[in-house]
Amino acid sequence: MMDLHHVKYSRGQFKIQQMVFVLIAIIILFGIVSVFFVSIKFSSLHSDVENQKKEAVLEQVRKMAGTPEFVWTSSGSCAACVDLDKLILLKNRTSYKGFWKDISLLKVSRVYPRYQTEECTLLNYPDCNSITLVKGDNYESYESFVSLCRYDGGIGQTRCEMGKIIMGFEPVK
Amino acid sequence: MKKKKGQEEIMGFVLIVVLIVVVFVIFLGIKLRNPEPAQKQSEIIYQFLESSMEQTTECVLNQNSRNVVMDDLIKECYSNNNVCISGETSCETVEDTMNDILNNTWKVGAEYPYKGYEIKADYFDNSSSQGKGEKVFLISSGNCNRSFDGNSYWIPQFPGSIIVSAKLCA
Repeated sequence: MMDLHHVKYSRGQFKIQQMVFVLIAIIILFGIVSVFFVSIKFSSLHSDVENQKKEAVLEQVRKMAGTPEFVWTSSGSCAACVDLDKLILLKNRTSYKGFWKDISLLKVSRVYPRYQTEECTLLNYPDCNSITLVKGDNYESYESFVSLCRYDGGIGQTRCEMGKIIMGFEPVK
Repeated sequence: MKKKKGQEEIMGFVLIVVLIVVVFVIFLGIKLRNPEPAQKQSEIIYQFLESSMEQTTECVLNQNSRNVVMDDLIKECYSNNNVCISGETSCETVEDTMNDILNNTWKVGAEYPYKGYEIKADYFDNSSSQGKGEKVFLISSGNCNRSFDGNSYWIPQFPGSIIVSAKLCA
């Protein structure tokens, strides 16, 4: 049997061993640097995913503007135009109570121009800012920009103004 | 003084490590010194642009004519810059209305999440909107040097097009 304690290594073998150690050390160094770099690069990935999810929800919120209850059909093709006259009438319709299931907040709000009165009623319309169709207690809200259009007798034509649809959903537990 | 072979090899190894560290530090320094503004395409900004282009403005160009919609007024601003009945030019009305909309939409400044915004419209001769366009208007507020969310909206204007682009800076 060979005694390993008395094996004589040649100088060449030592050299190869040294080279292997140096190479391993360099690879480990590069590995650490790469891990450091990748961790910095991917640290923003989580927030990017969250942003993309949020944008998808915003797109869904905006699709509400295209539903028959909201859509403005009087002029041309405007996918993001909401009929404000329709909504003020819809607000007082009892037959629409419970129509939008799973939605805790559904509201349209004017961005520009702003008026003194916040919530619209049949008495103050159209000199008001918001029409709330559904309002629950506990929700997480999302907003999408739309155009709020109506017939304006003062100028004898359609008037569209910058607004937003605000939808609230129950937060996921 | 005669150096041992082992010492020379350690020196060589240290030299390699120092070299790698120096290269890494230089790379990191360049990367940190000139941070390219990170741009993200934003759906909400596209929605903002699309909706603001439908805004009915207070500009009436002729007696008995209609109030002009924002995208038509931008075209008017580029092509003729006629004066509205109110006395303002179409370009002035575009800028005023856009400023009012922006002020009502986003609060910007050092104390807010968004530090600034920039919205501009340029006319491009070709459909690809490459190269430098002809300025139609530019509105900016706050500081817009770092990362930003942005998007653009296309308005056809024969023979080219007007691109309205917006940046919201973090």
